[in-house]
Order: sequence, then C-alpha cells, then structure tokens
Amino acid sequence: METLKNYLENMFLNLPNTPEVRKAKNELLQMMEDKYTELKAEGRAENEVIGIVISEFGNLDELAEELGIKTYVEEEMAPDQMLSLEETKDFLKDTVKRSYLIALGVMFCILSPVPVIFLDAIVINEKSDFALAKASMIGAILMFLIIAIGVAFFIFAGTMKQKWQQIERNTVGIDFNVTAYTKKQFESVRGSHALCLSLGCMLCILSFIPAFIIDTIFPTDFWYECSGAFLFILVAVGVYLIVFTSNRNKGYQALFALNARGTMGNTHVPESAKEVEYINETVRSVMNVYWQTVTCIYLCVSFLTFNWEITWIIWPVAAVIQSILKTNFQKL
Amino acid sequence: MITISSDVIRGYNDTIILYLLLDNPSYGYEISKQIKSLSAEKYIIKETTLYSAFNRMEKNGYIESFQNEEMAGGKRRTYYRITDAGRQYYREKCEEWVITKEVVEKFIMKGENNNGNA
Repeated sequence: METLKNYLENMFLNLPNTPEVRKAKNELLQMMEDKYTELKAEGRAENEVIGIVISEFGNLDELAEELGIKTYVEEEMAPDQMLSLEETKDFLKDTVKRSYLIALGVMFCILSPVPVIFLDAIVINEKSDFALAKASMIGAILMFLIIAIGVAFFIFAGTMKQKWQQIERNTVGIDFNVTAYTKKQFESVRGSHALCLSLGCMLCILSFIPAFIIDTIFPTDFWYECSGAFLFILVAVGVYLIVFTSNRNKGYQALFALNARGTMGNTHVPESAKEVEYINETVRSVMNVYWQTVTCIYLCVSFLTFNWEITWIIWPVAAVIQSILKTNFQKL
Repeated sequence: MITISSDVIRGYNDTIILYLLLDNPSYGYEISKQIKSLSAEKYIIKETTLYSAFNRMEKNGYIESFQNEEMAGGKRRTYYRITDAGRQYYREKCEEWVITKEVVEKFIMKGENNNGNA
C-alpha cells in the first residue's frame, strides 16, 4: 500500500494545494485502497496487485480539466529537473562539511587576538623596549596568520557551495520520496541542533567567568594580563557551535524550499515562510507576547538596577531562548 | 480482445454511473467493480475517469456525496446518491442513446467485416 500512496503523492506533488485537489486526492486514495484490499483478499501477490491498481488508475489529464488545473499538469517538471535521492544525500553531506568550515573560519577569526594577549602577558615584566616590540610584532603576525586561515576556510566553503547553485536558485524540484527522506534526516538532527544552540549561547554568556576566576585566584600581573584571552576562547567555541548548527539547518531549509509554495508537495514549507505553529495553546499564547514580555523585563531590570551597561545582555539571551523554544515546541 | 476506447464511451460514463446509483447509494470502488462485471470485463473504468465523473455530476447536481462510516464498516468513505435531477438527466440520456444507436447502426457494416466480435 505504501507504494500506491507514494505513487499518488508523486502524481499530485506539483498540483496547487486547493480544497478541490485535496478532495480529489483523498477520493482517489479511497478507491485505490478499496481495490487494493479486495485484490489482496483474493490472494494475489503484492506486486501483482500494485501493478493492476496502477494500470487501472488512469492519468491526471482528465481530472485536470475538471479541477481547472490543466496548466499545472502540462507544466509538470521534467525528470532531469528533479533532485535525486543520491544528489540529496550528497548535498546534505556537503552542507555539513561546509558548516564545519564556516564555523571553523569564524572561530579562527575570533581566536586571532589570543596570541597577542598571551605574548603581551609573557613580556609584561620585561623592561627592554626591544622585547616588547618583538612580542607585539610576533603577536600581530600570528593574528593575521590566523585570520588568513579563517578566511581560507570561508573561501573553500564558498567554492563548495557553487556546486549546488541549482538548489539555491530553486531551479530543481524534489519528489515525495526525497522530501520524506529530508524530513527524516532533519528530525534526526533536531536534538543536536537544539543542544548546539543552547550550549553555544551558554558559552558566550558565561565567557567572562574563567577570566573572573583566574583574576581572583592568581592575582599576578601575568595572569591578570592574559585572563582576557579565555573570554575569546570561550566565545569562539560558543560561536563555532552556533554557526555550525545554523548553517546545517539552512541546508535543510533550502531543500524544503524546493517544494514550490502552494503545491501539494508543499506540506513542508520553509520555516521562514511559514506561520509558526506550536504544539499547544499555552506555548502559543506565551510566544505571542514573547517580545513584549522581554521588553518589559529589560526595562524593569534596567531601571531598577541602573546597570544599563550590562542589561543589554537580556536581548541576545532572549533571542536564544526564543529559538530554543521554537525548535522544541514547534509543530512539524 | 478489443477493449473500448475511452474516447467513444466518455459521453456515456455518466449514464453508466447513474444507472448503478438508481437503486442504492454506492461508492467509487463498488461502482467500478460493477461496471467491470456487468460489461463482462470489456470495460474497466479508470479511477481518474470515475472521479472526474463524480466531481462533474456533483457540480451539476445529478448526484450528492455523503460520508457514511456505518456502511463502510467503520472506514471513512464517500458515498454517492442520485438526485431527482440526476434521474431526469438519466432518462434523457437513455432517450439520446436510443437515437444515437439507431443513427450509428445505419453506418455499421454487417457481415464479413464484422469478424467475430459480436
């Protein structure tokens, strides 16, 4: 029966998603099911039954006239414009690789000041100007070197992307099977996405802690000087996680976006184009007033404490919490 | 075995379906099964053809659809029943067929060219 369902899904994939078309699909499925059940009950083999049902199904041309969707049926996409399952797997693999590269690139850029800080810390008690200048110079060279490596990663990631321009430009389509596969894969990384996102943000928010602890425990010039580097390291790791998982996510969204809007295949619209639906009323009502609440909290806290220089942190934290809530409570 | 070309019979799909609904409401697969058996398997109606006919006749008010889970043994299934307008239309089509048959008959060669398909 799965084969028949897939057959029907594929037939209807590029048709507009209207009540009439949905009804037609439903009715046809009923008839196919009835026929399938009866033929099976006669003791025929699965393959034979599927063969009979499909050969007696007819084609959509006839239906198209009735439903006023003739243009859609005639414009059906040629098979070479469809993304195959193999290509989809390749694309998703490439997306993960690319996400690693981009995330590494960003991480390197953030880490670039770290050698400067360490070198300055090492020479902090040196009296000679020459030693100081040497340290600064090596530090600067290392910084640019690290940035260069980061940029190299970006460029490499960019070239990998070119291979898949057809997906970016939306000139290919995906059929029901590929959509189902993509959806399954997307589901399987959902947990890791949420984890990366929350861990990444936690690291960013808490990045000042090691520096704070080190300053308290080792009150020497050296440690005092280089404790700042730990902030960069933690932020770098945090940002790495966030960038990686967001890029991977984008790859899936790009695939889902290939199902043109308004067609039957499009039960998976890109998240950005979709009114987000939540799994229950409570979450929905909370999310409706989310940003208003955040603004309120921000203003209250800020006016009560008058620590304006730090209360801004509420905004990034709120954004993170929102996307975590979205990932976990969204209806797929 | 010569099968019927769908072009020729298209104009009478509605008549066939209405005939099968005259006594009892019925549903898609049952109707296609009846057409197959009554025509001695000479005419097997395609699912898409059948649905197109249902859809068209419902729009024209010849039939009405309804959901009946009891009759379907707990399954959700769409049933169709004929309306008065449908009965009227059916009678007209029957009369039309009598004339059509009469006219076409006049141009059909009898005898040697009618080789054994009768």
